[in-house]
Amino acid sequence: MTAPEQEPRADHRGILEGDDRVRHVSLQGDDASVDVAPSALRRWGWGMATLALLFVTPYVVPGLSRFAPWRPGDGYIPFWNIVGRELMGQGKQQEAARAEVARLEELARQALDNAEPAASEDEPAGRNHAALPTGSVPGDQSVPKVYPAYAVPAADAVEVAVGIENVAQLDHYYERLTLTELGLPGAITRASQWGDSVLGGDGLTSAIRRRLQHRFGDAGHGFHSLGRYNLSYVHQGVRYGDRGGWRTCEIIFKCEPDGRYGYAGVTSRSSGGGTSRWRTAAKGIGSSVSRFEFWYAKDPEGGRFQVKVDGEVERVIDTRADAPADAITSFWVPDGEHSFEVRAIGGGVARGYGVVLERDNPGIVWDELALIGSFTQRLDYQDPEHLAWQVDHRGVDMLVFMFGGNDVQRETMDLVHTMQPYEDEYARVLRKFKAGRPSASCLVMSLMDHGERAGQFGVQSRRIVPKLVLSQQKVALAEGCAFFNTFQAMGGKDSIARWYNARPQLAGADFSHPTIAGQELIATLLYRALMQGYAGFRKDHEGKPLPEVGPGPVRDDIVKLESKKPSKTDADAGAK
Amino acid sequence: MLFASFDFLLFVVPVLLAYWGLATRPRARWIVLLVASYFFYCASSRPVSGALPTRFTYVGLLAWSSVVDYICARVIAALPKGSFAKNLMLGISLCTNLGLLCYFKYVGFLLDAVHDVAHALHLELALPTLKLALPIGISFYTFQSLSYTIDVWRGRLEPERNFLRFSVFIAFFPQLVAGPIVRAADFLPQLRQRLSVTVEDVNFAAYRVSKGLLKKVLLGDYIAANFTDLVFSTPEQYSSLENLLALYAFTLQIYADFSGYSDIAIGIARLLGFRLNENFDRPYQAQHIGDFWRRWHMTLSTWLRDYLFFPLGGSRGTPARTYFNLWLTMFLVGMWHGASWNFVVYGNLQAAAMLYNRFLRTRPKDNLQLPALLGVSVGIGLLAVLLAASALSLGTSSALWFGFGAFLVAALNGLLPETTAWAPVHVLLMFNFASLSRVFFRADNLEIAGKIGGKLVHWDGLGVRSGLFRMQGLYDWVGSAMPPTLQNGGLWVAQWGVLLLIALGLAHHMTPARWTENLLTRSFRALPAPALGLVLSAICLLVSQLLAGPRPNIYFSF
Repeated sequence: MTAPEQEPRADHRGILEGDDRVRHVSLQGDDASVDVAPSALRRWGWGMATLALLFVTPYVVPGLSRFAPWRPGDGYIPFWNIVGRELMGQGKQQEAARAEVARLEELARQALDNAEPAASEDEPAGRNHAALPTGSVPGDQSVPKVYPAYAVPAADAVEVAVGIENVAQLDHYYERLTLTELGLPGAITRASQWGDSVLGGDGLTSAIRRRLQHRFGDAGHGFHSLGRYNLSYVHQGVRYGDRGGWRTCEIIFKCEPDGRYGYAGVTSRSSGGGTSRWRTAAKGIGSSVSRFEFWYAKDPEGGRFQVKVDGEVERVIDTRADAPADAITSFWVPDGEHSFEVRAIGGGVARGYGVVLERDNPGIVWDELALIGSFTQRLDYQDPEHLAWQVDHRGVDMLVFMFGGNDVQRETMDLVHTMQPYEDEYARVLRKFKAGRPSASCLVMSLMDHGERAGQFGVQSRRIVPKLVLSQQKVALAEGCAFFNTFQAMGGKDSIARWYNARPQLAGADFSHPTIAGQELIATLLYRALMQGYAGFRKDHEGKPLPEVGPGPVRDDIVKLESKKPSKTDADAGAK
Repeated sequence: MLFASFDFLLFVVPVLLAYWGLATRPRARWIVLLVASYFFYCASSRPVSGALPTRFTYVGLLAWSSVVDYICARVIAALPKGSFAKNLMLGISLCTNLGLLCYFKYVGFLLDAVHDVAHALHLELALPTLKLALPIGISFYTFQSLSYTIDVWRGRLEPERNFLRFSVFIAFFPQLVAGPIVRAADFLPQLRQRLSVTVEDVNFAAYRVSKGLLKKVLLGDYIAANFTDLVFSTPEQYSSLENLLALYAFTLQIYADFSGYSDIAIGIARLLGFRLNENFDRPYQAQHIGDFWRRWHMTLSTWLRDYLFFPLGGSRGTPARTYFNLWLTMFLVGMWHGASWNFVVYGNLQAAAMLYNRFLRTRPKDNLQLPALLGVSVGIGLLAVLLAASALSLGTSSALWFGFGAFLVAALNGLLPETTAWAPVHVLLMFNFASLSRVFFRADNLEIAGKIGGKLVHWDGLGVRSGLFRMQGLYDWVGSAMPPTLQNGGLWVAQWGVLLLIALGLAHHMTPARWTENLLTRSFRALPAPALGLVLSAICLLVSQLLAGPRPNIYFSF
């Protein structure tokens, strides 16, 4: 490059083009004269007088009081940094709040640090049973007859500020967890968590799933809805896509007259063209599957589904039947990475519920069953018999509920004076779900703190939140469920403000939803509480008879695809 | 203190009355201004969210800067040109001002950066962690103060002998905490001029204050509270299109927030008889990166041009030297905004685009292959830097790849012909470059920047969820109070209200300034005085009702 540069055209000059222009500025002379025009002052004065008049009006006219710029008790202190902070001593309160935020930030960092290895590790699932105190290994034929002695792993021996209440109700789940930890064949421990939009992105549920699977083994992703009924519905670690004409129906819209909404509370219908496809994650926990289950409805008007596994058509399912019924078709494949596709191909209107992705080795499944925008009572729209069939066939060991986020809107509606309607409807919901599998444990997680801007200068918990938490606690204990107080675990009243101000940010700008870091933190708090309860259970049960694993849920329609070659197997993973 | 707050109204009205009341007594007027400015600095409102304001005692730093620079400049002026002592005094001034700025703003990051690099090299260093509260406005008043001592040292400005006047210049409250950055050579002479406030000044001020408040509240805070903050706090939970729209919205929001503040500052200053330099000139109408920085935060970019780029030799040296000067200036423009790896990437991105732009605009016209060649060269160079940073584990690689993608947008812009017909395409590409590079500006760290970038690179095609842009209050009101015949239209507007607001804001920004400015200025001039009060009242009502309270300006944290 030897040619000389050319200067840019003057009319298109950028900031760093052109030359320095030198000017000399003298600071001599002083003109003390004044030219403040009286007309200018009059104009300004009249404008300000009008402004002042309009400011005063709301204080004089009662009907306009909501427009008053400053209302007593709204927390406004003029020139706060001097008056409030220094003269009224609010600085100390703020410093205490800041210290609480710092504590949260540390907790969040721990939660995120703990999340990383599990999220990225290429851990062959079902093999992580190193904590076995008995010296047994997965698949060991010498099945213990009694609960072996238990030494609490160091990672579980952390202080838990808020534990599980009524933890004895989790005995069934802990029993199954023990069998899973012992690596007994068929010992899959399933939990299904229903909740509102807090679960939507699978941040919270995947964080719990990841932690439990890292500790006890990976038995798969669990249940996934057939159609994406809402943009916020995501399942981490599953590559999912749909296209074509699914008509989805979420239970909150009361759109299925027969009340058959499926396990996740969402149905997808198509008279042809609706297609959904699932692929397991490329790496890490959740990258393998050995069983797909397709859950759907049979109906006199039913259409047909075509099912592909790894791109090949394996079954055409005709859903036409004499009477409405639910059905499941299972596809067994060698453990590894696979894809699964369901397509409605006409012949009627086919209605599907979802797909289960699992592995048949000892491990954990934690279903994410998010119902975006759902009030608690919407779950009551389920037909009781249909729901009982669904819950029973899922073989779930613990039912988990986390609702209330949308019910906060009722603080100015039917829950102004009493919480009784809410308690009654939540109790009905719990009974209806538990009826499907009475032996399963039940855990109610309270809603997280929800905030609103307070006056002009702060964020505080919405007034109804503590009341909802109390009601949820009351109902949970009365209905034989354990209870985890998410609200208290977050830090109690006004904790949402601290979560919002923490770095990493733990709560979103709507003061209602946790960020990814916040979800990791809630998951950590729940996981620790669950493990504290588990340690207590194991200690209490040392030497007592150990139950048998027992058969899994009954499946009538099974398609065995043993010749399928997985894209990636455990052996491949191990060879890497 | 936040301009869009009740505090400010309680503060500014008495200050103006006292100032005008003492019109014939300059010294008393300056004392009023100085006391008011120091009070303004100390008495910040408590923001609705985010970090608390720094304690009032930080005002000591402002006073210290004033004292040091006043003395240094007096001594500098008294010493012969080129003498060691003269240079020493300039050094003392630079060290004091930049030392404070570096200590409070950059040392913590530098320690973290050394730690990060050492960690990447598998060296474990036991370095302290420093998390200091950033004194509000320090980036602004430091540059302001430096302009004075440097100009006196260069012999371009006589020293101000009156300490009171000098202190007013440093602490002048309308622009103290978020600019525009005022130069001594522009402001000090005004303190010696006749105090003049005319009807035209009142009209001008009323217009600028109203415009600034509307920008700040409607296009800045409202969009932030109802859209961008939601998306950027959990970008993974939003679709690709929602993330992209949030970026565009943030691009509008940050302009409205900062230029709104500048508007109010310029308006209030005019009521006090001062004329401040403009800070923005419809920056998103820029056609290339140099043009953009000529229009965006003009007082910062011209400051760096005059006090850094030109003293380094500007573009009068060898091409290599010119490119180095360009890079350093643009890198510092980026780093001025914050101390983190994000701003290292942001600064380098702006610098790379500027270097490439410079080459294309000065290249020999007869060699058509060179642009492509150099584009590839700069691209590869940038890629190498990004990959190196990635290899050092300084952030997520997707963030850095995304940054490279943003650079390519600027590079493409540079390759297109500079003719009138192509102007809209240049504007579109520059707007996209500005928006995309702001990922690094907005995200808390490179990891979040990577998540946003990843969302845009791995396009999910999921569209926009229903209700995301809803103006809930309006929606409820339309649903309950509007006649049924109008409800459908009203509900549609309310449903997409935030998006419409963003579109209208951007559309207005893209109009020629003279269209709207002239019309609105004339309208304000024609309004009777009570109507001016009515307009301001309506805006105050918006401030208090639309949002629960004011939010700190984004540039406060710089």
